Amino acid sequence: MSSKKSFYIDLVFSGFGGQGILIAGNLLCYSALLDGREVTFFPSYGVEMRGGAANCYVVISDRQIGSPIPSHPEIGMIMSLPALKRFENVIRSGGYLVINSDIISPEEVEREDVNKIFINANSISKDVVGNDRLANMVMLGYIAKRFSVVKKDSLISAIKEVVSEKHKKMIPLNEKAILAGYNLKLT
Amino acid sequence: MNKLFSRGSDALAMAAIDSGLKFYAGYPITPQNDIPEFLSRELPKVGGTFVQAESEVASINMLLGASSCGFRVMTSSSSPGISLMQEGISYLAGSELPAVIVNVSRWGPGLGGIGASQGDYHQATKGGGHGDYFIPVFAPYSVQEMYDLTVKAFDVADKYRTPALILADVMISLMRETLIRRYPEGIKPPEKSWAFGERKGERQKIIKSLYLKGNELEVHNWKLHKKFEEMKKNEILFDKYLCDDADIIIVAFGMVARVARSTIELARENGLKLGLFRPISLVPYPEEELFSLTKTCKNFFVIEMNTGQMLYDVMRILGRNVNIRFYGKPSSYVPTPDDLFNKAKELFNI
Repeated sequence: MSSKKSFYIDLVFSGFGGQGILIAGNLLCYSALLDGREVTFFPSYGVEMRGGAANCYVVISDRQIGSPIPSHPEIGMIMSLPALKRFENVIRSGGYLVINSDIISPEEVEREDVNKIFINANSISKDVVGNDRLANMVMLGYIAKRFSVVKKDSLISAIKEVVSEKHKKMIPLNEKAILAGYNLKLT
Repeated sequence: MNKLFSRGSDALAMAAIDSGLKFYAGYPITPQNDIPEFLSRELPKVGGTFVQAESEVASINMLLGASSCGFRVMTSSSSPGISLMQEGISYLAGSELPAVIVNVSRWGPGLGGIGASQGDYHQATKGGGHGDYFIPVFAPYSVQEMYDLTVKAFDVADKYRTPALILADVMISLMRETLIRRYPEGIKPPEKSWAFGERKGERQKIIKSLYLKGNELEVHNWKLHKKFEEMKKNEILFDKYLCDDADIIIVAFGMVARVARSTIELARENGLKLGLFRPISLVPYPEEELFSLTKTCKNFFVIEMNTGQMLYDVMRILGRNVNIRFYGKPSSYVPTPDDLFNKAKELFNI
């Protein structure tokens, strides 16, 4: 019985282990919490291996959340070809596939009834922070702005919640990569 | 932040520490490993003892020893490990020793798989160990309930001198959501005059489950039964969601109930009035509360991630004058809200 006015958004993040998929999902969760919303996070689970598939579901709402695993999420952040193959058909009709085009070539996408957004996230990350390891943050920054998921300030303040003490000096770089995505204008 | 953003297993482990847990023993098994991981790190910091035992059988018997000495004790495992513990749980029940046992259940029988499952409902609620006993069983459906029901389980275990079981599942254990840590300052466990410890001029204390003389075992069995009758009066927990005007009421527990909440919202957006009845205490079962729904609703939809176990309880409670349909999904993938909505339409011919 969600009224039209209430806020609800569901996403799936997917790629390889090591791409920061779970960190991106967690960061979005902490940001949404700062915005005062209800949040659920559900990570991939199964017989997984290092470097294997990684994915997570995030649901953000201003009401109590039912299933943390949505039937058909609206937005997919796709960082690898296996991720595309697995989630392409899960995204709801009229939803959005946000795809890292430095890894996945646009011809690979078959769905016609979803919106496709291609971001050369590795290249952008390399330009902004000197290496391509923060492609996840570029993608996340874009998604946050494009779909009005969370406030910019919340996203930036939440970085410290997901970056471990050991990698504290990476916080400014993460901020840069997120802002690059946030301010990205796609033609 | 006032609220924590916590994983279900961490919330449970945190609640155990806040409840005054002093002794944990367990043996690794997926998918419950996050609980011992948390406790191995945090329990020693508050003066508790964490033991990775040589087996589940050893773990449960270590609990029997530590509980005899009056400490709050806990173990956790997943389905095959819980099977190994059944003898010890029966001995704990027979010896009237409080303990909290956590089953983050997985797919069986046998080694089964590591996927999500509710296949242990019968074992949990009807007693997996031998003998004439029941133990209280709680089924959380949120991260907050992982915390709250753990606190409750310790409380009930001490109050009735009984082992208590938390029947959790993969989804609620792995998911993260907001958590209010209600007792950060900790709960002081009750004094236990019956427990072993320093002898202060007292007579000998005996804790045992062996009764050979005359009718003493019969007396003991009726005593256990009486405690269970008291639990039925005082410890029933349940939740109702949009039942008052419902044409069909879903009956589900744990993760399935959580998914069903979304199904109900989806159905109501589509003009179909669904409601949810959720037993939180599986033992004692909220029988009267479920039965009272038959005054306003004649259609009940039982959904479980097994081939039909709680179904038998629901059939027994509701009788033959209502329409009961069942959807079972004994697979490692949790059904989605859409799956359940489509099944409801199919099974009730809508």
